[in-house]
Amino acid sequence: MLRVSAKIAGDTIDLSVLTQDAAALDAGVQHGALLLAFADAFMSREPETLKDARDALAHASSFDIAVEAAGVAANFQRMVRIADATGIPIDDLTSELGTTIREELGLYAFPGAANSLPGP
Amino acid sequence: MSDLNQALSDRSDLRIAFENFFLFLAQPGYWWDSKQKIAIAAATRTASSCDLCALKKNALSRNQVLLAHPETEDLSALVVDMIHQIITDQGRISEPQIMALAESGISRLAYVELVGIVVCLFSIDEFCRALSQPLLALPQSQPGLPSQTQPENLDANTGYVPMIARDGLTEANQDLWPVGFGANVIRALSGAPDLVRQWKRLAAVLYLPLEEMGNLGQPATRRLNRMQMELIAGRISALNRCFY
Repeated sequence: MLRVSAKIAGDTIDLSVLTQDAAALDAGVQHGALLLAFADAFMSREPETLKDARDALAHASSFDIAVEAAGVAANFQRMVRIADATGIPIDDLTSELGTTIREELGLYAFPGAANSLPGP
Repeated sequence: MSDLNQALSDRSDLRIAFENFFLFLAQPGYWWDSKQKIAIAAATRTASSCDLCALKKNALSRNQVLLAHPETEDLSALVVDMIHQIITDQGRISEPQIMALAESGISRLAYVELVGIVVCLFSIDEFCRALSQPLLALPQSQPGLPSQTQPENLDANTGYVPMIARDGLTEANQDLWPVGFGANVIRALSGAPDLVRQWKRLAAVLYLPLEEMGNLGQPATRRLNRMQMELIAGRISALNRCFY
């Protein structure tokens, strides 16, 4: 969705920031580095780190944006757990775009890949 | 009022959706009564700080750690273990575990309901944590028995759990997904349809309404643009090692 939304906006996205230790980069997205730092701090579960990252994002943008960023982060804590707890496969494993992105990001190494790929 | 609290108070849609979930939590469910549903929520809240979960998460195989989570008044040790794993080590949930739960008397449909309660409560709590807000108090239980009802047209060919077939919505559940949509992640909890409704309601305020997810331009009701939203979503999903 990130790549397609960027294409619609006429931008180019560096998807590698999603899976690599590259949170200092902005990925070609406005406030991208701050958003990535917020996501990392959220996942670190360290309260002070999280507060610092949230405040940095809010001061560079707004507290409304920080609230929205918190919402997106919390939402995607739910989605992965639904997928993995129920063992669902990807709906369309054959799309060229999806395959390319999964290869680029190394997603086939994730444990949940077993739910979508043919067994041995 | 701080800037953060002002921003939060401007989002009454969030408060309403959360309150709606807690009202739902207090009602008897399909396979769990109200007291058990609230016990599931309480167990969800202890998972992130559970020492045993940390041990199991770091073990090459969870079975190497022979200790068990303590049972509670309302939940067996097996159920508590599953709730904690959904929070702390979801990538290693496997079908034999769902089968073991079934052998202990927790049917696959009861498991679906449990998963829905856990993930909805967790996303609300995670939102609060992200903004350094106190967690909302769990509700008081209400009397009543589980309805023990299940939707029509369940399909057992996708994943570990029964779910309504993509084209199997009846009049009672036609609100679950738009005709022709029915992605697996939407259908996954449809064995307990009210949990799909709850997660859709939460997704609509935390992220985007289902009907707007296909529009990859600027969301009308958000200040974050879609690229910014998907950047956060992608990073959180990657850190959770989410293949889906």
